[in-house]
Amino acid sequence: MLVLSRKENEGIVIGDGIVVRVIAIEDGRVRLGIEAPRDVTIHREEIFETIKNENIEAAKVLPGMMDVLKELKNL
Amino acid sequence: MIRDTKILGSIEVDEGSVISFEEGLLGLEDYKEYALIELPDNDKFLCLQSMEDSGLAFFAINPWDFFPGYEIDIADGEMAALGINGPEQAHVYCILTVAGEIKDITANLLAPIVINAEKNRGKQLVLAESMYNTKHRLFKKKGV
Repeated sequence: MLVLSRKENEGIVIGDGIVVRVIAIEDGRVRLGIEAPRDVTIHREEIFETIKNENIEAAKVLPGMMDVLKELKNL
Repeated sequence: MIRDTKILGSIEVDEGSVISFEEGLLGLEDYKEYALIELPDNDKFLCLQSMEDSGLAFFAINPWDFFPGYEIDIADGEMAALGINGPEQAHVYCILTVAGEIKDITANLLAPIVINAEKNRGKQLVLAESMYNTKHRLFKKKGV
């Protein structure tokens, strides 16, 4: 991993057209501003972890659940 | 073609209906091909079945059947990746999780599955900055 030190208002440029800038540093929290083309998706890392775990949990379906779902659909 | 499925046993799956997920689903990136199978006598629930592993399947819903106010904003880049030109081409489904009792079933509204049904391409989106999470109850708790 490349590690760089940046101060407030300093930024880094990634590839073509992505700029990450340190907007503020306060109480152990860093506010980042990100400029990127519209087709680049940006998410907090932990959101991916949450969704990964949910998918794995969701994959634990059992054949017997189908019959229960039939009853539930009219609720 | 006849395929083994987790929920319905061996069934006929139309080859032309197999949906390709170039990036797989989050956490399950190795599985790229799924079929969306309707459940018999049940028009509310579907099964998203892996074509590569008969043991990998999900229950899914059309989110608006249960959450009429559900809103999703598909980024231009995601639309382009799926070859979608307009909202009518985008079919949206949400994956269900049964943790514990089946009445506690929840839907993942944060990461819907969007499918271009004409091109058979699908992707699991992440709705950034939305009010949704991965566990929305389908059925309200009694007495709450």
